[in-house]
Amino acid sequence: MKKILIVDDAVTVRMYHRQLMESLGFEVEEAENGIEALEKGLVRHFDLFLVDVNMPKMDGYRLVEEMRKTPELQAIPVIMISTEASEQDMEKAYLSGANLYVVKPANVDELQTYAALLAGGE
Amino acid sequence: MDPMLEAFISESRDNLETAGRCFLELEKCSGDEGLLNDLFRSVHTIKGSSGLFDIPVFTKVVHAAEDVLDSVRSGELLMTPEHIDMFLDTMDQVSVWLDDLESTGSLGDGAEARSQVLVQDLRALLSAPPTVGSDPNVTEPEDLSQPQDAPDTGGRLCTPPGWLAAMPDKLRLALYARTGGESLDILAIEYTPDSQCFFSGEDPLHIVRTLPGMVWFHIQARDSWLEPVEMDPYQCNLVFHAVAAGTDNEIRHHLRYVNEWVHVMLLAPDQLVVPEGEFGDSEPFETFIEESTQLIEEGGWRRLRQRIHPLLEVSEPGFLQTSVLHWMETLLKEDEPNQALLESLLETLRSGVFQWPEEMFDPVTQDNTPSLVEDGTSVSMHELDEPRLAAVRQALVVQRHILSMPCSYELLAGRIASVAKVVKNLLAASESHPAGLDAAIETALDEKSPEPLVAFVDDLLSAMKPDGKKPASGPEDKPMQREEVRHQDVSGQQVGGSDGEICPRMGAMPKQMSTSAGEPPARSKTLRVDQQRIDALMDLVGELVVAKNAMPFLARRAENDFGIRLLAKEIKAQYAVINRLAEELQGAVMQIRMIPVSSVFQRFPRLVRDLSRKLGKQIRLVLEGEETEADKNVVENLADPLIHLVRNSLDHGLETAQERESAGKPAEGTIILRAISHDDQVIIEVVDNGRGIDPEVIKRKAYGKGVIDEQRLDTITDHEALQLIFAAGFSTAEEVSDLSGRGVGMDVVRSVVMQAGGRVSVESKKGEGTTIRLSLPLSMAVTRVMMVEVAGQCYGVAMENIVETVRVPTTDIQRIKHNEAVVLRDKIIPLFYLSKLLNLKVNTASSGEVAILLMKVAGQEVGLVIDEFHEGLDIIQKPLEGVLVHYPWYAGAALLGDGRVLLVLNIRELLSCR
Amino acid sequence: MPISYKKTVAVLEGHCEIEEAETLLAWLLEHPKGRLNLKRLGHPHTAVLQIMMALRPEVSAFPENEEIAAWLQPLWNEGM
Repeated sequence: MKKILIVDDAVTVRMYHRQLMESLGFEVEEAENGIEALEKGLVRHFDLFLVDVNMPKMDGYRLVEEMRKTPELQAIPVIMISTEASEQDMEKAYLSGANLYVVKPANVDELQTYAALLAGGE
Repeated sequence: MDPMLEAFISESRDNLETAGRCFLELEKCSGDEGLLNDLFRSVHTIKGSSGLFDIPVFTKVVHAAEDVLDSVRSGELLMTPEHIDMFLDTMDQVSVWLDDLESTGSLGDGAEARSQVLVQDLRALLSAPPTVGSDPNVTEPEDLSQPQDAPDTGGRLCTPPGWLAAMPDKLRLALYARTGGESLDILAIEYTPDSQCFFSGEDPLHIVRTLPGMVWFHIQARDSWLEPVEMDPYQCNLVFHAVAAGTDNEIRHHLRYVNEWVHVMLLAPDQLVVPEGEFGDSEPFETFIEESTQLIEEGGWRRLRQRIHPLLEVSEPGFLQTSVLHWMETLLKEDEPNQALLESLLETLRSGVFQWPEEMFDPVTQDNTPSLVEDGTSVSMHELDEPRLAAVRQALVVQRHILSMPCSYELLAGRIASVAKVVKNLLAASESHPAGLDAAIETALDEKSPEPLVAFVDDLLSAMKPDGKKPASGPEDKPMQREEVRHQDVSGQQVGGSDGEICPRMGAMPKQMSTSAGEPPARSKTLRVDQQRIDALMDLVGELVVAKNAMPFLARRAENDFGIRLLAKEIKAQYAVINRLAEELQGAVMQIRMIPVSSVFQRFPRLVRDLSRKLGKQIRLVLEGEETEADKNVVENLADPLIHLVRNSLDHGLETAQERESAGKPAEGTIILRAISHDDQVIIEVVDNGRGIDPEVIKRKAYGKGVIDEQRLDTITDHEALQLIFAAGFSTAEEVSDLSGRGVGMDVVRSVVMQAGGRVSVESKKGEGTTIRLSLPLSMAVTRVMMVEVAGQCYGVAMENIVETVRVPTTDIQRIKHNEAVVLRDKIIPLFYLSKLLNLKVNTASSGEVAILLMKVAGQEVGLVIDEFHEGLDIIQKPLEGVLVHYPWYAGAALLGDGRVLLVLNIRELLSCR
Repeated sequence: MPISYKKTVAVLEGHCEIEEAETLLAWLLEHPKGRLNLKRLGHPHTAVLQIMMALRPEVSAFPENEEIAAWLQPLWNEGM
């Protein structure tokens, strides 16, 4: 079963994304910020990270940058989810190492389709 | 109740509490960035989560509050007690709504009206004139550039610009033909340089001529020319129109420094269709028009083509009719010709007037080649019938885009690996398994270059084109942009003279060569050579250098394995000759590519003079080491970052004369632009004696912007903090002015320098000045290493780090606490055992003497104890691959003449992780 | 010297930098019938190009380099 790590400081959003991902048949874990995500990622393997941008302690950009520098995590696909729809924010996400940028609240089908594709199957 | 709603209510209450507390504390200390960030984040989270529920009225209010807070956070709006009152009221309302949600599941009566009032009040704060007492033009330049860029996103849907008709028909036809076979972005570029642009060192013509994929350009006067006597040669009065075909990103990257003055539009191939010429006698075409109308309607493309052909043979060039026929012929090469467009062309034959079919600019028919420009943000799958396939395609487009973005070296491996993984997953999901992916990934990782993957993804994308366009016959030759490498052979200055002496790279050349009076003017014989040829030569030299390394091994075998000492000796003698020749050859080839940095420096005197006048500052520019030479690419890469750095110094670094005098400094500020060649690096320094940078301000900003976290904030040193000005996304509002605030930050400087394989650093003392140092490789040189042996293994150590090699009796080694040291020439040299550093078996057999490599590491002399010295070697160092990538104490590896692999040690890293 | 001034002809060679613009303008004002030899022109700075466009002096030889000739020559044929 594919495993997904949902990284977001908002409980509600984590819950929502968990529902979406579990309905695809993914196994889900959660992290509240970048640091926790790195810790979890180093302990077990994930097929995909869903990452929020604005978080305390370590934000999404930093998290993805750290992942890309860390051999164990550098190849894991990342979908970054943000409320900002501007091109600048999107470019910043890609520069830091995200593989897709989705504006939230995301269209359910869209998010599910992309998560399934990037994680490598359902 | 829905557990998610429950979670939302309880989470939002927590956040409201945090927000309330922050507001009250902010009233006490309004500038606290940490508080503002907490506040912003709590409101942001409420907004984000509320979007998951159907309560738009609620979301709107929180959104408005977030926007206001954002502008407070960015310093555009100053928070007053009245604002805080208003926020607290808003938070109260939100809290009431949460209660309503909990008890009834909805927001209750009157929520809509209440929401409207609150939103209006909050937004009113934003439209109020800025209350911060800052310079009114502080944020202006960046803001102005926004609306200029905005129309680009819809580029494809706009009518093509009228000036496109000025592009010769022939070129447009040829370009159109290319689009069948290649995936090309065709960009129409209108560039109206700032009339003052010369003062900032810009050469618009050069920018246009070097556009990647330049196809055609055209120059026009913006305003009619003044009388010659009144003309100001330093006012730019031109407009450039250009068409380039390549990748959208690359072209935009090229224009990044002038993007305010550029309008770029993405063109569909069909938009190139504009027949031109004089409308001739239409009588000979009447039958054709009649028949063709029918054929176009029926889709009888083959027969239509057959009719056009003979007609074209008798048509004369220069007539509109001929051009129309050419276009029809070209359009008919498509598998599914554009019917409407053909009809329009036919109409032109009738009436002599060409008009694009109206539906061409309808979004639906246009949307057949998704591109990032076209749908701007992120990912969307609108109006495509096969959502899944479309999603795969869209995701691939994004990966392609990511690969083309600038990347720091430390992130590159991660970027390649993750994109590779995504592409793999995408292909697996779409059940296609095209060959070559693994190979492309492997090469990309090996070479640390995204190019192989880019090529692979491009192929995939063009194969996936929804309209299934097949490659057209033969792709046209790309217009060749010849890069010129100049080899100036001026009186007495020669490359690799017959006495074997290679011209020194710097310094020694008489500078006044071109200005010396009395002498006949030096005739410069210039040879223009395609750069590729020189690159090929360089590759060959590299191979020769490696091949010659085989000879010492051969000599050793002759002696040891075959016992022919005399032969060994002769081989060694031959080796010495070949070695010298190879070195000279290498030097000579590199010399061809070398140009003095003065070619970049010479722009600056004028720039500085004019800018300092404009700024009302007294500034003196000192150029040092202009004769320093470096590889052509390196020098060319320098120009843009240097202009930015000098502008920065002029603008923010140096104070006005009054400020300087009141600080007890001379009224005139100085900028030194200095080039030094140091080993294999050319170091460029931009030094000013201005106000310097305050590391505390940088720290605060970096923290506020989330560039560093709290923990880092406590531990970061001043020097480290200064380097943060190069971090992406770090540019303080205070730094923006009309001169350098062009959306180009220090991060761009850094990425340009890094791409050229260099480094950039900053030193600054508050009140005394700032030095920015760029170090760039002089060229892609061959490294000289010394082979050392330890525990039966050979390693390479870069020669430049080695001070000397010594042997000392073991009795001379002294113990100081836990460390060992040796005294050499009255200096205490700490000793390190390479075997221990590398965790190898320690050689216990003591011979009463140890071999020590005396090295200079990070400014300090240390001794490295090894088992044996061996010879010095020239190697072409390659970065490590595979598992070894994770061992930073290896700088790289090289292939030896006998086929073995030599690992080259990074002594600095090795010592730092002991 | 990228621009050398003869009696009636100014010869532009190689890269003509911005510094040349003012002298070229002055020379053309002094020699209204002066001609330009662009045979070995490599790259004129925009400011230099502008002078040529504004004054449109007679050209004795267009650049050998085809790339340059391709965009430079038309400037003399059309209404600028």
